[in-house]
Amino acid sequence: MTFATIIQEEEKEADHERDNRVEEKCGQLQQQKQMKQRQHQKDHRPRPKQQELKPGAFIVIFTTSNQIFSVICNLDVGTASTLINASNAVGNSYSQVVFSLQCLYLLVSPGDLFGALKFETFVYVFSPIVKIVIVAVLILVLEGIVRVINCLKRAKNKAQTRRMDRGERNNEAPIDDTKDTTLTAIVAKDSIPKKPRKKGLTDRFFMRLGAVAVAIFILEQPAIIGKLCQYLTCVQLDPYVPKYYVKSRNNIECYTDEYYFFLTSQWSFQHSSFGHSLSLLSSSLCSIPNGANSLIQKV
Amino acid sequence: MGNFYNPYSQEVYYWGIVIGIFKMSIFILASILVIHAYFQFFKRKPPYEHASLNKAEKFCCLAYMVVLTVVFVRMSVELEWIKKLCEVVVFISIASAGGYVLINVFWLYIMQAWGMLNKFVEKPRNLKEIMTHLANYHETERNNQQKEHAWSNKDYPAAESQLHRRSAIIVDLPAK
Repeated sequence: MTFATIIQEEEKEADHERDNRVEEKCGQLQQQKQMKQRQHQKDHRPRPKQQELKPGAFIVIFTTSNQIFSVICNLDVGTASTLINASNAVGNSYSQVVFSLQCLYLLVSPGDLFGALKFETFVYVFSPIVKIVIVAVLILVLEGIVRVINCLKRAKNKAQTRRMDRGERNNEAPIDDTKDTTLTAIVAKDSIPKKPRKKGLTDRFFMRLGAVAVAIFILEQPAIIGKLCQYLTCVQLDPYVPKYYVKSRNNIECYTDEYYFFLTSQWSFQHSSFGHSLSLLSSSLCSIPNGANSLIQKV
Repeated sequence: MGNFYNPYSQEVYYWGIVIGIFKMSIFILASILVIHAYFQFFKRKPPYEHASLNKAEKFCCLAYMVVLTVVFVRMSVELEWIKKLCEVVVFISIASAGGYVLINVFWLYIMQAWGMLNKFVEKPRNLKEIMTHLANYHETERNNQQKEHAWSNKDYPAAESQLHRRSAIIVDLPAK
């Protein structure tokens, strides 16, 4: 090999390397260009289409306007309040049921107005717990029924397979090629992907019960808070008489021993300053504009 | 939670919070100025993408203003017939604003029901039309192929005997 051929080969190798480098560079540039194009497309993506008009948006406007109208109308008692309260009667049928329950209570013990109010408050406050307990019992009963049905099905299938094994079916020969079937079963088992672990009875029970509890809480929480606030809200009917009455029931006097007893027995802080201050705070808050109670109920 | 921001346009996604503040301030201040401020803000930045929704909100705002004014008038006047008149005005403004919204809701539901009914009626009709066109297409195809194979005095091979997968076909439906 002469010196000239060695130089030529070296030059060739250098050229080849340079070409490779240029190609690499070009590739990188092209990649960068594509990325830039993609980014540009992303940035200048056409805006999403206009949302479809849905009745939900109108219903939101309607409920909002109803709330505001009820607040405005409560400024002056009697102004179209019947028109606004009609929607309350339709929307919250629970209040009608409680009203009927109160009538029943008054039939049993007539004249006990404070007792009726206590009964109403208890019904409102403890009804979610009672409902959750009923649902828990129902879920357990349903689960039990499903288990019994599954057990029966399994027993039936077992009996059927046993019968088939013995060859007791109509003119059917007993299965001889047991080896083949087991082999196939082994192969099939390997090929089947592992199933996720099935949830147990307790998991399913708590999952369902939790869903029910959340739904009940969301539905009933406003009514409970409204009812408790109504109990705490007191108004002075006569400015010259220093006596306060429950705002929702003007025939029940506030800040009496019985009133405090019920208040403290509910919250377990007998004769604490917090209970008194809470009731005073709520009454002072709600007595500034007259529409407080309705807004609390709505909230 | 979706109702808090879904119905509003992208620019005014926060309108749910504005409504919340509006409700609180109307309750605390009990002033007509709050409603005017809300209405001005609404006019500057209409929160909805659809004109009918904006119109419904506008009617509601106007009704708030009218009702609040009339309520204050009713509180300050002693004459019975003016009080009755105020009640009528309040009733009319609430009913007209609520009525406009409810009419729109009912109209949307009616349109949805109409669309579903149309789909229900159109589906079998379209299927029938497609099937007749498909039958015609196969008939003409078979005739053409029989003509092509006529010279060889051989039976035309049945479709089942052709082992290859049949290629896709296009059937032109008449324009509606």
